[in-house]
Amino acid sequence: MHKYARIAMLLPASIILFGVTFYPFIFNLYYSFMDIKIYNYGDPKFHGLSNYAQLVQDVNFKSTISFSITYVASCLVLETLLGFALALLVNRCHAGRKFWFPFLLTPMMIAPAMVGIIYLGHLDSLTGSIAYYVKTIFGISDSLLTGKLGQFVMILIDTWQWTPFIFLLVYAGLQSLPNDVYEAAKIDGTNAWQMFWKITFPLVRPALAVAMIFRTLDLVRTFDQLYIIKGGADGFSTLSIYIYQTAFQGGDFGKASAVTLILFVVLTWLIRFLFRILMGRTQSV
Amino acid sequence: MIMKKWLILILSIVLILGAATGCNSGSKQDSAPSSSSEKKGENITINLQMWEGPEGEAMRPVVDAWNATKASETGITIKLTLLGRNGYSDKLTSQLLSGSEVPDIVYPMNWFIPQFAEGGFLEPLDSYMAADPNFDVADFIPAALDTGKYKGKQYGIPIDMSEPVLFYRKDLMPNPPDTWEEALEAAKNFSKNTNPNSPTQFGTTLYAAAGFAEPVHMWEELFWAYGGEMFDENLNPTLNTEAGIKATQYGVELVKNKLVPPDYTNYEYPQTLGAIQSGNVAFVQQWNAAWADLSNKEKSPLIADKIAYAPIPGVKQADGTVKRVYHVHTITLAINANSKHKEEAFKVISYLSGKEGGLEYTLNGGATPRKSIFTSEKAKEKYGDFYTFLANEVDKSGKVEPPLISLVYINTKIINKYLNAAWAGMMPIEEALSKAEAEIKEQLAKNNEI
Repeated sequence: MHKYARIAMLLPASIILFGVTFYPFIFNLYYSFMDIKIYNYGDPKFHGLSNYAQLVQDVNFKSTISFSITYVASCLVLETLLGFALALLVNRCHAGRKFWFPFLLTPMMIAPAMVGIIYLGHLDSLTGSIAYYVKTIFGISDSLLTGKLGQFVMILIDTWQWTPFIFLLVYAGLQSLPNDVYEAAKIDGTNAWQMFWKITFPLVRPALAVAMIFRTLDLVRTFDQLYIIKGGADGFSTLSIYIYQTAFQGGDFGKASAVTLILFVVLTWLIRFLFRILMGRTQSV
Repeated sequence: MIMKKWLILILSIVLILGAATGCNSGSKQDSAPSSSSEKKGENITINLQMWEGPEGEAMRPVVDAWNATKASETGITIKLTLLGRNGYSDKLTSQLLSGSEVPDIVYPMNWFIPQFAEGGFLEPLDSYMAADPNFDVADFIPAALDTGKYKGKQYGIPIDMSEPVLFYRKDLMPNPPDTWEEALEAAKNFSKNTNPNSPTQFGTTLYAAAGFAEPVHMWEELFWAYGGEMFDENLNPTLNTEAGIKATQYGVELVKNKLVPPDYTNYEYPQTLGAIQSGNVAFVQQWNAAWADLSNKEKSPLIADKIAYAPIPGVKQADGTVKRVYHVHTITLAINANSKHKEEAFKVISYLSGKEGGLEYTLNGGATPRKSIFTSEKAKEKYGDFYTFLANEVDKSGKVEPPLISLVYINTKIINKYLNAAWAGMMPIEEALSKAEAEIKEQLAKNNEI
């Protein structure tokens, strides 16, 4: 195809992409160096690196980073282990699969905000059913919504909702594995663990890597259910919640833009790191 | 081949122009006569934007009645738009900051007025009020009207008023607590932790949802009653005073003695309502809007016939009287400074907040804070004496927070945080209030308010 024809075909989509991604990014970068709030929106002043410097001293920002690291790491590990295990199990279990398989995916079909509303009710210490059974069966009368226990519960909620995502991608990977490799391995006298570690895991690794990368990006940007249940309070705040509250409760668009840039850098670095670790050097970004 | 190239080029140009037109279509519509604030011959359409839920549904029949009966005589048609309740203020912020002329009338909480007014996004209404002979300013409950002011100018007209009152189980406590000391004793009496024979699990609740302004509003009813003021005349915060310590001590005692549910740090309106509806607590400090649900047999089957309301507890004075103070805030109707039809917009506001439209709104579930509406026979017929009670109490003892740009941040991020630290026993009260003062001062300086 002629060079200009190629450019012409790509131009409309490129313009739209520029408009909805690159242009806001540049504007966000500009805002991050400005003192721009609701009350001086029409007359912002250059602020240099002050918005970034404020974050270093902001206790709320530090607790947001701390919570985010704990939340992302814990959810990712749990979801990966459980999702992988579930995929291996379901891959071997054929009886009635067409019936119960859709139920495995149900949690991730529920909107995250709705998950927040559902669990907010169920975890209430006075009127919540989960709180009641936890107290009755395990004797735990502490609040399930605060402190370390509350953090653990938030991690469990996310794990409950998104383990099916990792399960689905890994299961699809397992379904595509060739049987002849396993037959050959059996003939060679390979045991179950060797088959898993030497055959299954390397072959399904790309699918697992994609699943983990997607989940990591989503976890870093978590907003819905956490905000519904905790409103970003008690230190249960991710960067997305922090940005939202800084912009719309604090009315400080400059500082919110600075955090947005930081989030962009963190996500970009994470993608590169995860690709390198999970996909191997030859396929790194 | 050349024909093919030209076809591709023409198609690409058409697509680009189509995309560009689509992206710009919003702004073009804002300035074109086809926007919702438009002049169709003699008739002007005023776009009124509120949020969905009880308030939006209460306003709908009032707007329909105006359009049916008054549109032709006034030449003004009202178009009511209801946005999602959650995140309404964020959407409103984006709309006003974009400079859009639509909507004409917005529905901000009073604590957003300073920021919007300072930014020039809202129209001052004083001249419109003075020019309207039908607009009876004196009929408003003074504290409610004050919530819409900033730097001496009126920017919002209150259409809904909220203040916390005491709701209690009259079957368990024939005499509700009159002072905060009595409230603490009652809480001990009705908590199983301090009284194993208590008929309720906990005595009361503590509004402490971290990150919300409402816990501070509840705390203010103690703080102000103990004689405290948030700021001195130079806008220095004055929380760490005897009044602040006593006000905070109430929450400390509630938490320390386990007189409130263990997840109190999640408690705000829905949780507090649920606690008393389920019969698990004996009394609550709760917003007046809860009465509609609490007294409804379908919504509160366990307690509807056992619940009563009373004045918020206060502080006994030397002369034997009890000083009570009600935190008052409102949701207001305000005019978008970029509206092309401000006079017409004010005519609509004047009606909707007036004795006729406001009464209709209140009977549908709203709470327009006019004395004539709250004490009207129709309001009594629908709500019993509740609205008369509210009018009398707030008229006597209502108080509003100072209108500050920084107030939203101060309440949600600073005072709330340190109150929770003190209540949970993580920090001595004096240290918590002192640190709160320091951070408040910093925030005020950041926003050039001191």
